[in-house]
Amino acid sequence: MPVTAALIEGRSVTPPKEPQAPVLVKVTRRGHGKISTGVHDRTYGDELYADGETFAVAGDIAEELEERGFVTFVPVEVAPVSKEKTKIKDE
Amino acid sequence: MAVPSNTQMTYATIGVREDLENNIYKVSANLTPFTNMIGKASVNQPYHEWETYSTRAAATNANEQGDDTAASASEQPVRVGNRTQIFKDGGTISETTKATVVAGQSDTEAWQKLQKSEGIIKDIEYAFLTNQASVTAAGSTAPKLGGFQAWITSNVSRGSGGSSGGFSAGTVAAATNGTQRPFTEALLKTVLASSFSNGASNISYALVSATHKQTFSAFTGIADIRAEVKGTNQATIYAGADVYVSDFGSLTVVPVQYPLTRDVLLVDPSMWSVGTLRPMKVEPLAKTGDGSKFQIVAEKTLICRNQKASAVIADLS
Repeated sequence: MPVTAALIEGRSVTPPKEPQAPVLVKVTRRGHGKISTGVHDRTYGDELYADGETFAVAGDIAEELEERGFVTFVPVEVAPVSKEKTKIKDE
Repeated sequence: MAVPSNTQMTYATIGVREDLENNIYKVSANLTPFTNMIGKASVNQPYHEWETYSTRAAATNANEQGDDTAASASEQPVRVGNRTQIFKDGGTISETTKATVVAGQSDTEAWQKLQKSEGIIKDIEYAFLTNQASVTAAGSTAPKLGGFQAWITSNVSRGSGGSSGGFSAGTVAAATNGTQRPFTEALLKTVLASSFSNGASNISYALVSATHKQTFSAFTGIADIRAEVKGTNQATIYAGADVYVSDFGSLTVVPVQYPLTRDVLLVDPSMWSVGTLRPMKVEPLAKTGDGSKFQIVAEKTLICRNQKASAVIADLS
């Protein structure tokens, strides 16, 4: 992290958060109509996710939403690794 | 040219008096723009409450001649409240320091009190504008007031995954930040339109960070920025906008030095006020040695008269 004048002077600065990898979450009943999709309608305001909807969001945001009981994490199934050995041909 | 030998120079002179100005120059442009623009009220206990109400939506209202009149359901106001927060700072100054002549400070103790008071005033503004949940005092828990960004739930534009806080059962919850996106004029216009439709008809200030102030100044609107250069005068470059005339009224853009970094607050100042339980006061503390101790304390809350009157554009990069 570069040293800035603010850090040297001991000024209070909020360091930018490192972007976190997105995770998949599912909206709970409690979170129905509480989480923004990021789209704002000029008549109705923010469009909100409904109960049961699934969406991807940065890990830190997901954790906060989960703490509030608005979402649950969706386990991502990892495809099983093939047991067949891959033969590498020498050319 | 040569300097004659044995010429006494200042740098070899003993006893040159120091030339230290008897002034101290301070930087603090506009300490508290939000606190300055809103109202003031007295509160009587650490939990202050008030009621809010919105008129119902308009509908067709036409009746037959001689028709009997039925009563419609009576709408009740919503009761909301906020906690007070105790702001304080202290100082200790030795009796020797008090007796010493110091440049720029005719009274060293008074100087300390002044600069600490200014710090508290800034802390109050910080608490008001930040996304801070209210906290009820309990045991070793310090009470906190719910800040502006925590209050607003009706007129918000958040990034994906963002969620509003708001008042519920005696507490104001903080909002959850969403995914950041660029601040654009289109975004401002849609929020102004939806807020107006939702009852915010008197938004007159936009509080923005320095970065977003510059972004704001680049909004083109329908402006034609040209100025006539007369004679041999130099041209002036206009690169800043302080007022944005929207379809719903003029918006004065106020850059704030803290704490906004990712949010733009659209404010109707008539719907906010500072609630004071204890005004800021300097109190001497018990003497425990060869020095003087004091504390400066204030207890305040933020009164959001109706959160529907203001708006937040959150999660901006």
